[in-house]
Amino acid sequence: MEPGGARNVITQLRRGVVEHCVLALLRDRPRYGFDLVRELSEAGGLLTSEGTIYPLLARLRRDGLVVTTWQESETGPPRRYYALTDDGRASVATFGAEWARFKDGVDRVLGGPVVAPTSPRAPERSAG
Amino acid sequence: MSVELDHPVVAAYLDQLDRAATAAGLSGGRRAELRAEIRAHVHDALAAEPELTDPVVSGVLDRLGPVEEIVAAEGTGAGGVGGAGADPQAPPPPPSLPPPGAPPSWGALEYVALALLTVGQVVLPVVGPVAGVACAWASTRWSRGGKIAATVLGVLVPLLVVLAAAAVWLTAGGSSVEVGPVPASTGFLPPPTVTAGGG
Repeated sequence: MEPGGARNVITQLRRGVVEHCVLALLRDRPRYGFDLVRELSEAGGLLTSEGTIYPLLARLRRDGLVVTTWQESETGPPRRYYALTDDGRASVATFGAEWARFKDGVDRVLGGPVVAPTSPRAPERSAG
Repeated sequence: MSVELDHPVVAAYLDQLDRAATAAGLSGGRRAELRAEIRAHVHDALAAEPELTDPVVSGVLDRLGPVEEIVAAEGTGAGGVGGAGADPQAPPPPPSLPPPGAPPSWGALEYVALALLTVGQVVLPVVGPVAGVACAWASTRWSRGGKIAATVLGVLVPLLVVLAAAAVWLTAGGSSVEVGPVPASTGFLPPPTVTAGGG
């Protein structure tokens, strides 16, 4: 498989999971956009373009998974805080369980016959 | 305080965002929300930087991503980050949760500015409007367009009134002065030189 294909898979995977990572970050307390972006960036570049988190958050709000409030900021423009709803909390819990199974399965497969990159599969055909 | 939001590169980025959102058919309420959030984001990102240089500002905007990408992620199926849950219909106006007015765009400073720019014109003839314009430009909530509108209201309108009064005075009282093609009836307005070529 060419490396580009693997990268594409990771990109798609990232897109699929970032929404639930955002929900997970809201489990402890409400957060505002830049706060979420900072956390996601520190977690290994889960966002490619930071600005796209706002459409994502709007979608979560439309789906009833988060609610929002505008709050004054002492240093600048008002910030919009996002908080998890009960549905959002349930969604994170479900995803967490599914992800654990998925991750274990993938790890098991990948962790099995791990071969060093330099060792090609030697066709040890002894037959002559 | 948030001078960085008046940085021309930031202002241009926000204008591009507005145009892209308008072109994509986002509702006015959603456009205002998106702009307010991106604006707050830029402020927070720049506040975290040790110094404000052009490359730093550009870097913050680069990390935000192209405005087209942000707008495309708004839900028409072209997912920017998380395409999950995208409904196939066109994005309707949000059902009930988001307030139509989006962010609070008026605080004490903005009300003071408005009072100075209107009542202040009469109560404190010169000082009032000038202070009102200063308050408007100190505002972190009003957009650049709003501040320019406040400046027009605070400075240009009274100036035009003074000019109009002067014109009236010159044509009425000081008839010896031959300055003007300005008719007394219209004050500062241009003379109606359009000849009715109806026949």
